[in-house]
Amino acid sequence: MTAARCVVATFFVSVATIGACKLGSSAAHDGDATSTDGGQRGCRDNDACAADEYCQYTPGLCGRGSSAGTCRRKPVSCQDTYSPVCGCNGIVFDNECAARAARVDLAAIGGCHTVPDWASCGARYCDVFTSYCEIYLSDVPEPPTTYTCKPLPLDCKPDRGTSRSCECFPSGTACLTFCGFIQTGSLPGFHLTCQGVKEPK
Amino acid sequence: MRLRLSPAIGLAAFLGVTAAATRAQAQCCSGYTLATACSGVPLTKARWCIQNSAPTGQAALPPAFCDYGEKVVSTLETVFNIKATGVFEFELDTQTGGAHTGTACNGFGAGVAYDAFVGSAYGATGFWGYLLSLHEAINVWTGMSSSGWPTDWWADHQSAFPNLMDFRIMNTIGTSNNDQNLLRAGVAQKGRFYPGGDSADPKVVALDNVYMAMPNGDGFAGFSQMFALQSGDGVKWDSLGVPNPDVKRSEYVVGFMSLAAKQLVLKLLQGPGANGGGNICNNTPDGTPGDQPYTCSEANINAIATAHCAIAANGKQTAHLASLRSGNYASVPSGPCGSTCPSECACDAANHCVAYWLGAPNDGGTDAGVDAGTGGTRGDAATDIGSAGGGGVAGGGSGGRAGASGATADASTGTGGAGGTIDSGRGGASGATADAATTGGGGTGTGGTSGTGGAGAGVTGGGAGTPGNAGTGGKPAGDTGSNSGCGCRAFGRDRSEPRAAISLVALVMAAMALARTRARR
Repeated sequence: MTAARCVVATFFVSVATIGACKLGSSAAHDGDATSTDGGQRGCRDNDACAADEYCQYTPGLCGRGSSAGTCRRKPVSCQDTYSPVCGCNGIVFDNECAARAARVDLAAIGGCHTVPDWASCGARYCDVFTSYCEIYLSDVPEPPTTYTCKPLPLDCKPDRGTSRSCECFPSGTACLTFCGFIQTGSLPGFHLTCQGVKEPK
Repeated sequence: MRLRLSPAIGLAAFLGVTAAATRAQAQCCSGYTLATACSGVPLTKARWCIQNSAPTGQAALPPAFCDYGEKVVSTLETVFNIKATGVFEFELDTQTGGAHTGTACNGFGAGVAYDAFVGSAYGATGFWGYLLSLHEAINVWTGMSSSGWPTDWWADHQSAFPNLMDFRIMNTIGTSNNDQNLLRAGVAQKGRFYPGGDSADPKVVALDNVYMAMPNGDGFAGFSQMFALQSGDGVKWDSLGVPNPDVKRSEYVVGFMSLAAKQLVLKLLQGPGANGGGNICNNTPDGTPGDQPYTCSEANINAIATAHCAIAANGKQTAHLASLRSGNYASVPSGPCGSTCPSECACDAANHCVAYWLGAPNDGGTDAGVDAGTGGTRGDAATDIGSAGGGGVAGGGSGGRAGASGATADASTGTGGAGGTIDSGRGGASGATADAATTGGGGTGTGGTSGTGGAGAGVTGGGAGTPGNAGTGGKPAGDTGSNSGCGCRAFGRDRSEPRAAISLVALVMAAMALARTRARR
């Protein structure tokens, strides 16, 4: 699987469900990491994993959730694709693979610094020129709040005019009742947030 | 007689409140700063922290939220019967649009995007801030209570209960603070889920109908009782040995809900009920692939609730509790009627302790009726009209089931509905009752055909209703507004704990108001 496909995969797919991108030569190792005895190994941090593994948490609360994480093999190489993600160490990585290679899991609720022209959307960032962040808020103590980069409607694209307003979204767009801007340090992005309603499957 | 407090006691009380307030204002997580908008507000249960990188800085939090957070915590403690484990930290995050439980430093609290607190939606300023901070706090308490609630109608995939709590708590705090903006927000949030709303959901309406059917129309106390009964039996939904969702899991939840309501609420959930409420437990697909629709069994729910009663009546034996907890309620032996039969239960004709609604009417004994009709449902908004009250259960040996309650309306222009009619008790005469409307027009009770008229009783104050017409014969009128019951019920435990908890909250609020007054001085 190529890195380009990985970027595409960040659209339409929720952070909660996407899992690690399968990158380069790591694809063969990208299944569930196994311990030497062949079983999945639980972890609370990287110390519990082998040197070529990282601790992946589900949900992605960086070890703060009630469930233990799982040791997974880190990628051995990554493509040079820019699709920024927020790591559990607060650092923005160029892409998910780079974070995994550094043995860093993704922070499902974000918390990293802003990236110009990329709108923070859970653990990921949405390209404000082409996408917006759709959020379905959880109603249980831990995520599955889902954050998804969705394609921008034509009228919302920056080249359609200088003023950006939530009115550019067609009526009936999901989650439009709570629409706002995401600051990026340059061109802001949009978020559309749903609360109290079921996320379509 | 006027009480005089010594200066020492007054000083001690003041210092106590101040110290507690200082605790609440303790350190925020790294990268966050205490909201200056709340610096003059003595907070003991919650604090507000703004992420340093928030573009609007300290202006992100309107002052009205300071006290709101405090009351959110107090209310959730009461509803869930679970005390906060510390000061609840509300964080305003720079990240936009989201919300989550837990703080930035893995603490007790929740985070909401800063942009939720400004701007208007649905005619209320800061609508999303009120809603999301409350909603995340509810999620925290939900997690502290029990996991495994039915995903097809309670929470997780379908969010009926959290959505219900959202608008009910917003309305309650808005009323308490006389905050018209918050009241508008609460009405709007309710409107989203009622017919015609942008997120209309019959399940939310169905649970709201149950909320209003709780004893005395007090849904908070009712659900609090439900959580207490479940916790008291040590029942955890995920220990029932069934998947989620599943019919048995739902029947258990409905069973405990019915015990708290002292009536079988299955039909309210199945619908169609008031305002179209329903679609729970009635074989309606929930829309999630793989979830199979099912219909809950009234007989099973009765058996689950009666198993709870029998276990209590038998002294809560470990083996019996284990059976109930593992889903094997059918193996719980029946329990005797007597002093150990709790107030959510009653005695049947065979003298067994059973679910309250399965209890046999009394046969014309000599006890006076003591249980007035339960409160009618209450409308929320100023223009709402309270719907008809549910039938009250008249206690007393002379009456069987009796008296319906008058409907009520919260707001000043609301109009109370008419009181219902009564059912005559078997053998003896039943006392007719009519609860008054809380405010607005009073409900009119209808006398029993063969009972003694009972006086109307307000649920939460306000204008008195018209007393029920006197019937003929029977025993003297029963007391109104109390909750004890028939033969078995008379021996039962009084449901005073929730009231005590609410009183305690009121006391704390009064102390805070006093401290605030002092601070202003």
